[in-house]
Amino acid sequence: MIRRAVLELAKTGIPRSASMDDNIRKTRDLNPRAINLWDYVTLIGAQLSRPAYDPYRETINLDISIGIGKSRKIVLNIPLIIYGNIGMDSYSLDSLHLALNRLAEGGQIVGLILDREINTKKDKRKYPLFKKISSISENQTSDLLGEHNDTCADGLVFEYKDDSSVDILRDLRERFDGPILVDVSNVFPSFNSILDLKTDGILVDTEKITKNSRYNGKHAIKVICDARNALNGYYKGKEESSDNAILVIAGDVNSTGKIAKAAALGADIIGYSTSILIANSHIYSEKPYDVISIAENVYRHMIGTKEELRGIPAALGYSDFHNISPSDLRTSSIDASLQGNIPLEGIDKTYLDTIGGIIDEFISNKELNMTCSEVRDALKSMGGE
Amino acid sequence: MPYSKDVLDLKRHILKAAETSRSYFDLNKLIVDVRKVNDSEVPYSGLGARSPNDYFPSIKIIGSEIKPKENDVSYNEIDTTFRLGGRYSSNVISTNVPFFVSGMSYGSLKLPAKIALHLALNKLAKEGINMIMNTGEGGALPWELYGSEESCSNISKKRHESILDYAVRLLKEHNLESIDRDLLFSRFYPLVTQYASGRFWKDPSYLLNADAIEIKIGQGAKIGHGGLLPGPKVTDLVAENRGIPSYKAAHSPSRHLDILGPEDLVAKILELREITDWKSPIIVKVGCSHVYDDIEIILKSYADAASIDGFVGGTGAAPWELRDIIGINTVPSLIPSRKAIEDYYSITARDEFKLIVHGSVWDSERIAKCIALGANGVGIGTGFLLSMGCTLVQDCYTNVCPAGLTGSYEKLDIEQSVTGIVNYVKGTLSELKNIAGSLGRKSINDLRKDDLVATDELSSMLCGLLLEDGVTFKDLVKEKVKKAIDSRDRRINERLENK
Repeated sequence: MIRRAVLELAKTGIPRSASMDDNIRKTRDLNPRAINLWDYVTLIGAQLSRPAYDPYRETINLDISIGIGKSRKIVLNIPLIIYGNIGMDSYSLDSLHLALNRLAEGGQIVGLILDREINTKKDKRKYPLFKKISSISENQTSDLLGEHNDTCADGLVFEYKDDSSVDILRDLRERFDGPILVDVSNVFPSFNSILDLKTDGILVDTEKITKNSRYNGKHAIKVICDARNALNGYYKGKEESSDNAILVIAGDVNSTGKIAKAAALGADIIGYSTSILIANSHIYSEKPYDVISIAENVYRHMIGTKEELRGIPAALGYSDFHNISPSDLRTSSIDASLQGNIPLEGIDKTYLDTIGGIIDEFISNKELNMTCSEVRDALKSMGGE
Repeated sequence: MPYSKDVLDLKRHILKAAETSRSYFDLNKLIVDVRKVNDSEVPYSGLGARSPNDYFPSIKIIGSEIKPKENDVSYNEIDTTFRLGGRYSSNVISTNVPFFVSGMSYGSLKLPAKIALHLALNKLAKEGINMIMNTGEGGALPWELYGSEESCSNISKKRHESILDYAVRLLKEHNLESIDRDLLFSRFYPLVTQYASGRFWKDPSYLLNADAIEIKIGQGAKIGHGGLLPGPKVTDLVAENRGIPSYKAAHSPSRHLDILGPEDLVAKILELREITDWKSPIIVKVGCSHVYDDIEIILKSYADAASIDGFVGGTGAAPWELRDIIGINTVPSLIPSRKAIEDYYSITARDEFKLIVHGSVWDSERIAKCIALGANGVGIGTGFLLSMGCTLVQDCYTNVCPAGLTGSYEKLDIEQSVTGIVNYVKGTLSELKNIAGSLGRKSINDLRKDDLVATDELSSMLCGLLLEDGVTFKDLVKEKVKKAIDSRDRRINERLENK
């Protein structure tokens, strides 16, 4: 459209009969595209009022520690844990294992969440492994909670199913000294009782949750926003506010841009599935399987991703990735503003705050006569909750 | 970019893995992942980000025509003057084109494209159309700065000889030795030199011989990230022009090391004022982010103008992901920028401060919309590339460009490009005059917000425009509130009746 508009002028030098925007409007009406709210959300960079950091010449921190209170601490050098609801064969797993080891050897520790054993006979594991469990038998308990060695998990991801899961979690907490992350996707967004059990982190799978009836039709940004609000609400006024459970977001967060936006919305760590996808690509290759070259692919991809991640806080004026906050976000969509409580660009207020301000003005000018509950109902009807 | 077979195979395999997984993946971005797999480097891209909502199509100019229906109507008398300077500078650039060539440096663009721009602007100037060109960060070319005897007066004879020698080598390397030297070594249009964090210039004549200076704090395509020219594009001659090593990526610092706050900006502008004897107009350019605060700082410095570059603003090379996620659109930046200016002048006497807007502006209607919303001038980059044949494949960061603009320079037909640029400028200028004339305005600068309507709620809310049916955004809210209360009351009554 742009090209056609300019080429017409460049060819003839005489005024056209329709402008570019007229044509865009016509096309847009004919062909409404599927909207992904991630595309409507951006971050605001550092300029004069806040100078940028320089990722090529200055240190930018990506490290994050998992483990609160007396739990053994695990430090990740990249805020990613490899995790996804994607099947993996043993070849893919071997490649992933080699790649994560190589990253760890270079001081780039990334975690892995897995629901099965990993073959570490040839290469000792050098990265933190989180074992995913939903129920647990006595044998498994002794395996999991036994003496810490390279076959034993460094952390656990416990899938919380219903109220009966409380007892298992309590038991795990008493017997396991490593960090325990709880997948709360089945009970989201009610997880206060889980945090009461000194859980080290909450894992939220946006893909699973947006399939639930309550979040049906909602976007991942709504889920992340609600998860962060729930966590902040739990810790509000509590003494241990400096040692809070972390928030791990998985699901529809699979590019560097989305990682940064999810972090701004409140995610501490991302459950990252793109590495699994790359490890799985060998299945479709015509060449014979080669564990080392696939591992190399995963490794290179992660190094590139890490460099991209370092550039983002720097461009926003931070030396630490974890300083990115909701105040760095802006959106060009009313829906994204409503779902993620994100300020609209150019207005710097959320849609609801703007509407609320106008209603207040009407009330003070006596143009409208409304009670508080009526205001609340009106805002709710416009998408607020 | 012509990817190797291995990369394309890998993309195919990952695509299949993504399609068969139950998870959602942004398939448009898979090539970014594949490129990281290929070389573990941060993938770059060229041109601007794709914004799903850049607001322009949701704003209409009421009752205007870009081509008058009656052939005998001519709006040639419409004033399109743009003046730059005079707030603190003693010189004022006065042009009759309110849009100009944004900064596109030599290195990012190949020499033939730069020459085409130079010759086209000279041709336009001879026809009375005086348009400003910005050099971009990478420094100016010899004929841009040293085209007249006067311009050579402030450099030594030895330096002049070395500049001429460099010019000869430039032309030779690009097989352009047959070009008319008299035509090349003259400049009739106003030139703005960019003073960026990379400081790619060798002597003060770079500043003294230009008509204005632009301090580049940032740009829309890579806000918070310094300029970037990938290694393969830093040829010996590009490196010589910039004073940097050949074939090594030129990463400019992400901030000016001596401009860390408002006071530093004032000090820097005063330094440049002293160098130029307070003659040259000075512009400060920022990428759009915290625009209200940034414009407030620029207003309080000794600058003559502020320049803002929106999210969609183009580039020769930027980290792909960073380009696509940082920044805000041009229209939502323009509104708070204008507000900052109005707030400032509510307590200070109005002067010659100007606001220039860049990013996603390619045609007359968009220029007119920007002016009606409060801009004084508009910078265009991609529009000029398109008029030279750009195909928008976004490979500007490589040495391969299908149009011969940013790579494969031998493909570019300079003569044809000059014609394209001249036509584009003339056509756009005519359209602009038609827009203003059809609205009954004598000057393009008389366009106001009242000439615009919004076709959606968000644009009305943001720009304070009436909606197409004449309703204000506040009226719309009132209507929605009343509907919400009515519907609630109805529900309560229904429930009571059912009981």
